[in-house]
Amino acid sequence: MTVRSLLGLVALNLFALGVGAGLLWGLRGWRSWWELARLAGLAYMLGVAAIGVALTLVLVVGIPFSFATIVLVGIALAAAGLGVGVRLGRPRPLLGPGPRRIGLAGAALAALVIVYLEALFRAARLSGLYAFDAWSFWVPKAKAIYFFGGLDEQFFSELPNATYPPLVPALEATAFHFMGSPDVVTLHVQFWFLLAGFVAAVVGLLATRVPPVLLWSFALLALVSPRVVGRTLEPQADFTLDYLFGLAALLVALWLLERQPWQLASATLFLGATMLTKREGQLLAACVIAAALAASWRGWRSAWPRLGLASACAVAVALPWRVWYVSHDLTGEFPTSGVTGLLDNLDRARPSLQSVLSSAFDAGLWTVVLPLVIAAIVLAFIAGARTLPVYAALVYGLALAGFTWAIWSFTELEVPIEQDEAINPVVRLTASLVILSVALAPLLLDAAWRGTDRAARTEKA
Amino acid sequence: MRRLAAWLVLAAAALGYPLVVFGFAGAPAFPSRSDCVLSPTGEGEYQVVFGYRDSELEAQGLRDHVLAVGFQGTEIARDGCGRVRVAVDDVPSREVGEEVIRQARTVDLDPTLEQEG
Repeated sequence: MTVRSLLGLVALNLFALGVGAGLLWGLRGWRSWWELARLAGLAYMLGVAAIGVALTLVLVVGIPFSFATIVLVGIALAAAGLGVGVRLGRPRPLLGPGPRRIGLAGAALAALVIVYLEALFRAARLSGLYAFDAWSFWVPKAKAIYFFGGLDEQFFSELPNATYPPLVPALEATAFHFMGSPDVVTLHVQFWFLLAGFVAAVVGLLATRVPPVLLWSFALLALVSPRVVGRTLEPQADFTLDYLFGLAALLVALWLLERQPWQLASATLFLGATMLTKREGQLLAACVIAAALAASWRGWRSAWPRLGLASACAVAVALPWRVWYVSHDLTGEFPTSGVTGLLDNLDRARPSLQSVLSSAFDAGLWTVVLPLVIAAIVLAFIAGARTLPVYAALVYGLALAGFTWAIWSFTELEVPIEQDEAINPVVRLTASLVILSVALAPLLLDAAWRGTDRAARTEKA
Repeated sequence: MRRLAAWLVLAAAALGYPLVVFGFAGAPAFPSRSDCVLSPTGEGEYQVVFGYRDSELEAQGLRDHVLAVGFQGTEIARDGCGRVRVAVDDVPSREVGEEVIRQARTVDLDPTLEQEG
């Protein structure tokens, strides 16, 4: 690892922030520079998602993957956002009022999160490539893209999980280009940036909506979960998927409450990126949309066409990769039992559910995050909120059911799954719900406190 | 005043932790390739290292030469610092290792003795 690699990653992530700021300007705009500072995390994650999606399409189409391609793609995305912003007449930002008062307790919790992230950066800087899936196929795929300038069909077909989407390998190959070499040690710092970006995005989105103590305490609780501490820096797709899913689900929740078009548009980009990150991203995206459809049934005439359009756009973004791997005879995407084979394996249903629940509620991995979320959902519902608790309960419930189906239908997996957490596939799945809790739990508790899920202050774009 | 205190807490944490680390642990270290070379100082097993190469192909060439002149058991392995090591592992003592080195020098090889990691 070298100073040059670190500076390269700083440049890459500033580039992603710039691209995302351009997109956010087009989607939402901002009235003041303080507002942009608050939403910088969201802008950064939008930039990461957009660059990841666009570079995946670049790979599928067969455009040579080079430093110039990456820069041109980023500039095109930012320019598109700025163009839309100008066309929609977004106002010129002012300095505006300063940040909202945070309070001493909130500041103390935020300080702990900041120190945690700083400590994690120190660990990321010198992490070796030891995670099995990372050295087995995620990083080799990234190296192949970096060295060969594209998707090498033969190489990909010989690696495990050939049909896994290439968004994360494309981002890793982008990091290699910015670092100037395939530095697999410093690469871990890129995953630190993604974690920090996710936390900043959630905080930025919720800072005007929920009390700082609720916001920062849940962020801290999820961040110090043993599994998050131990695995979040690994250069593989699991936690990246969780961040993208968490932001998509949060933005859809905010849209259900406030109906700002930019919220659904941003969520659509995150849903597309989720589907291009790992195959279970499709399941998670479907859970978000299904939950949103159910939670908005009272206003279905207005909500459902918009949700349908968002779903169609997300699927359209994810489709070219599926076309690519099918046309190149790569297999392994779907369950071994087939879509209708579940009935032949009824004996697997109960142990599959048991595996999912024991993993999701394992305090040794996730402390008490999910029990607290369930309590928050119940309290919000009892207090009189409806849309938010129904949506949250459905997202969590459908996701747990979906994970059960996945374990049940992949018959090569022995059930119940009791492997070590390092290689346990269910633990990877349930992580998404814990990361989602960073975003949804503060909203739910705030709704429970105020007795309604209408925000105290809605955010006009 | 309370508003200022909150921001001071944040600033103190953000700046305090790196300063404390800097004060106790010194400037950040940037490991070099030599960090994967362990001097033969402690207990345990040793290895006689015939050289390091940047690629496995180059290392195989050196290994084949070393094997051809009689040093059986010579193998190649990644050293964890981006290079490939050509070495005889599991050397039980420093004396045995130095004897292997003496013999290697008679056939124009220049190995070194390292502690096994």
